[in-house]
Amino acid sequence: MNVKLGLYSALSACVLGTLYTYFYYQTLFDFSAILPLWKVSFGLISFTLILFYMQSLFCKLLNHRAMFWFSLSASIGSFVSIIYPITERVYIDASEFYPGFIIPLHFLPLLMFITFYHLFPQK
Amino acid sequence: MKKTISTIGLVALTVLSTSLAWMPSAHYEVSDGYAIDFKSKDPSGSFKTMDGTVEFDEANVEATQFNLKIDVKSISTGNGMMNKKSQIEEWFNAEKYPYAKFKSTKVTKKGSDLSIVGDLTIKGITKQYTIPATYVKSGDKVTFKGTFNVNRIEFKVGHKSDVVPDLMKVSFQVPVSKK
Repeated sequence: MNVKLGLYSALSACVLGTLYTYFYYQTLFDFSAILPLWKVSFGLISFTLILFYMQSLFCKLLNHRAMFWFSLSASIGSFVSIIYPITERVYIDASEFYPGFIIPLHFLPLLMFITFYHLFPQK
Repeated sequence: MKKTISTIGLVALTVLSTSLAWMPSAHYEVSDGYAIDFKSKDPSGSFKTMDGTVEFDEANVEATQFNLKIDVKSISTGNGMMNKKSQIEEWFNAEKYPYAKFKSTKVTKKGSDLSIVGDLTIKGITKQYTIPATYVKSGDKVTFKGTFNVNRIEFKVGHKSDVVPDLMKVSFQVPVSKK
């Protein structure tokens, strides 16, 4: 496992996601009552590291096109995960903005992981 | 050796961030079984639909925050004509103001009694109200109950009338569940 890949991608997803959430809460609508900023930060670290372990497992189990199968699975997983915020009932004003706010965050872990993968490829 | 330490560090970070991200919050949402009733000499009835969130921590009850809204179109007086009439501009003006809202600003606790100060908004008019309430916690569910009077004239809901009294006695039972 290339520890640097996990660490850099998780921290960058955390920093970008936290900044995005902070500015969204400040400028558009504050959803911190239902999703505090610190939960976004730790959630992004957690999901990026889960992707990192998943990719390590794919590399170990599949010799051929491991990165392709990992990317495909993670893309589908990220896409399917947006069903939850779309269908979730949010009992606050401006609830119609909630899916629009949360959906980009669902793709951030994979985006950052793939970005740093090119810098620290797994052996 | 260095690699082992880094791997252990990364695993520790994963465990820590995952447990923090999924840590239960003090966030509650209105669940089924709520009742918002109003009573006067005439009319009496209830509102059938409400939504809302409550931030509640039993260790710090005074930090509780209520953010509730009631769908005024869900009024039920037991008289269909009266329900319909209540939606017109003179009464709730439901087309323009579909919700009555309550947002707490301060909660004080004395024993198991709460005094909830907050902004009540009906028909676009906001007034500060102090609502006495009690609460019962059972597992992941908390039920708030209370009674208070609302002066409909303050909110321009209808005009002064000999038939409909100004004061409506509102009783509520709001169960909320942890999310």
